[in-house]
Amino acid sequence: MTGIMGRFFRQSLLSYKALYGYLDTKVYLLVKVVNPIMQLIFFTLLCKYIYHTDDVTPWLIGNSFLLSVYNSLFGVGIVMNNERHFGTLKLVIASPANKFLVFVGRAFFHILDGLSSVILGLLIGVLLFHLNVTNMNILLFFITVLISMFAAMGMGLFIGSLGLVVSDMNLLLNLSMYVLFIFCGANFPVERLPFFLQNISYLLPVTRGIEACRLIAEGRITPHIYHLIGMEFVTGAVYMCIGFLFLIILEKLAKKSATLDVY
Amino acid sequence: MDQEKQSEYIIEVQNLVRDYVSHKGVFRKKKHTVRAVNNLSFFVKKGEIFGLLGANGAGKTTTIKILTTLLAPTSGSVSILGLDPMTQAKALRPRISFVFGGERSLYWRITGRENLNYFSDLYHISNEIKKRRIPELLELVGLKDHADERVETYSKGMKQRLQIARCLVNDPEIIFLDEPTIGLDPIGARDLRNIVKMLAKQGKTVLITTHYMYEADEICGRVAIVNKGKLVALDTPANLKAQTEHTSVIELHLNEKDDALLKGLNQIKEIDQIRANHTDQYESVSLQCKEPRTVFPQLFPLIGTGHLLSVRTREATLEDVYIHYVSQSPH
Amino acid sequence: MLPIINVIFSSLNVHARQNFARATFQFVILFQPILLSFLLYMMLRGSNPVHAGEYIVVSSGLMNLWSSIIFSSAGDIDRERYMGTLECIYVSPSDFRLIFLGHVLGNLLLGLFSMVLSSICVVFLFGLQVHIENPAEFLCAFTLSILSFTAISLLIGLIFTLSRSARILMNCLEYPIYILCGLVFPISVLPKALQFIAYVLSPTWAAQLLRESMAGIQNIRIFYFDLIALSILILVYFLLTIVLFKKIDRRVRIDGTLGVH
Repeated sequence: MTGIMGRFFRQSLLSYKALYGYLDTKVYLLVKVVNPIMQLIFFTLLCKYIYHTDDVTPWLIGNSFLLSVYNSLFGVGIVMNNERHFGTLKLVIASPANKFLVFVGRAFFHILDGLSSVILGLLIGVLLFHLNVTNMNILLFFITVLISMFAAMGMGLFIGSLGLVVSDMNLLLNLSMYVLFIFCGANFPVERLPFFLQNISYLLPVTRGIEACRLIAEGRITPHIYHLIGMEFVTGAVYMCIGFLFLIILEKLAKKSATLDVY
Repeated sequence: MDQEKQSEYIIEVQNLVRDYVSHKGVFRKKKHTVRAVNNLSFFVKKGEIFGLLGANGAGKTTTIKILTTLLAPTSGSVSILGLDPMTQAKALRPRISFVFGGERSLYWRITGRENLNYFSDLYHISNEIKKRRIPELLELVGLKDHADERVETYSKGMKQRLQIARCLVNDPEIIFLDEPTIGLDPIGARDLRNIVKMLAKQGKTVLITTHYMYEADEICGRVAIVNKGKLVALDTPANLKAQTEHTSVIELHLNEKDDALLKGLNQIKEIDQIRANHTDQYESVSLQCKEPRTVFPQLFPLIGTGHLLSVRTREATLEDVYIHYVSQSPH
Repeated sequence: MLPIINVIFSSLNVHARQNFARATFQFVILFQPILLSFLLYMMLRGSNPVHAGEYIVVSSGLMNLWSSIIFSSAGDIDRERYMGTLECIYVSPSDFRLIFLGHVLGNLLLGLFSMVLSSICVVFLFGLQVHIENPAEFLCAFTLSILSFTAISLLIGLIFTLSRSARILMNCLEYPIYILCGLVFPISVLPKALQFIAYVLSPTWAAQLLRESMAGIQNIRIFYFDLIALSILILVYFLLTIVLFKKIDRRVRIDGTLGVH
């Protein structure tokens, strides 16, 4: 058991390093700290301006989430894409190791990365926007964040596996990022969307996570929160399963017809 | 400089030195200096094909970059067509051209013809001349039938030939070619060499770098052998080859490294040069000598721990001259 | 004169096409304007402010213009470095600044296209009205805006000739300019110290002028003052470009940053 876990961690770390390893420390800080902070400040100020409000807590939380989603989505999606590019995905899938663990291992460190982004976001909130975290249930908050990151990672894996048939991964990732920007309620309430579009919101990860975290931040712990968190987990799991299934199917297809060069 | 000399040489390189400084580490930066070109001097005559021969990292590309105004020398002087590439780049640039080997240096998403058109515009070539010259160039490099296809669909050889065409859009007096045949199959490389010969016939001066001795032998009037940024030999291929006349090479293949043998070989005075090499299959030892007959009797008793796999005797080639120079210079 | 125009146009043509073939750039030009406009529209929907249409068109338009510069002009030099063409165009007798101007103009043209796209969205998809109160002044402001974006991209692009990690650094300049230059919200929400920086950046003035001329100019004297301030900034940028280039030209040849080898 420890052997499996050890391998899981090593693989995950390796995959994380593969993505950011080429960056030197300065650039890594710029990409992973400065840029996210700027994005957060921009959207928070935008909400503050448009909504004429000084209480930016809900928007800060929403946008902190988006930052971490960026990690989960792009991190995982691009790693999958790179592996396909360099032909290592085939080796991973063909190896006798537990495929599902390997698959999920690709994303594990990105969850931690995402978590640190949310913390960074809240820190900026406290420092620049007078965010009040005193009446917040911190433990519950972080559990919600973790589960949301898990859900976002699930979507990342799903999109990453789609990337095997789509020629340009970046376009897909950029598009999904904007879809989340618009649909998950980070910058305006989901209810403002036309009704048929609201359905899309609840098919996406993070929407419920943001809603739950806002309630927690307001100090309103109700059973509804647990329902949201539970559903968030299910959403992530579903995406992950679809992504994994997709990968397996593609592998089968690739084996059958040697012409289909999906890897 | 007297008038006579000026007319004779159109490339003059004297005591050229170029250092690269790089910084390592994020917070405590370490300065790291590498000398790519070390006190290099040579002169090229008008209309000559001059070869710069050396292994990877010998400083050939750096030298070419300095000569083509792309890089500043650390010290030393360079004069091209009587102009200083660093301070008189503006006057020099329209009169020269270069190709760096490989598939790069082209716009892949547009067609070959469009590439030539674009570079013609950058060189201020008038429409009239452009209309005449571009088809000529495409014909010259054998891309007439593919001129209107995107460059990304080209083969390696086609891309390299298109690069040659690109460098000719301004009808340059001097052409610098940096390993133009790198990565090409034998036929592609031969086509390219034929183009270079044709250019020389048209009176163009060509400075070409390569790490293939036979290539230099085939097309160059004179060859400079460069090792670790230093000039180690400069002569015509014929003269360089003359050094190996009546010289033979004995090649021994052994199953393992035999130190006793190497030590003993050093004592045989008939051997001019010893080279030991390691490959995956065997250890090879090459001995250059005038008369193998005198060496053989002394040779076999020296073999100690190693098991002799094969022995072969052959005539020395230009390649051996090259290796001789490159391995001789201090490390 | 003719060869100069020829160089600029030829470069514009080649690079607009090279760039538009890139998926990231396609996203910035085709999808981003629509998605951005939609996001802003949804955010405004609750409050129904006056000039919502104008606000969305200018905001998303300017953001897109800036993004298109970031994902093209600055990156272009880096991309050419990796393609190996940077050295080729650099040694051509054409002034590198002119070639680069062609790049910038090509990218701006595509950026303008996305501005049109977002206007179409606003009017036809969201049914908002976009009205230009002072057309003549708007035209003036618009022309100057284009010039100012040209000037700033030239300047930034040239500076980034020096760095091998230009592309990544440049990506990190997207949001700071959105924030600092008041492209979407007025800079009055920023701390005083930052406002000073904002006034040194030409997009700040451009955004202000475009907004005013669309919504109706309150004080024509202030408007003209802003117009003159922007013109002066543009001139300063162009001058800086010319002066800096001399230094940069030396620097790149000493450091050897034009190629990857």
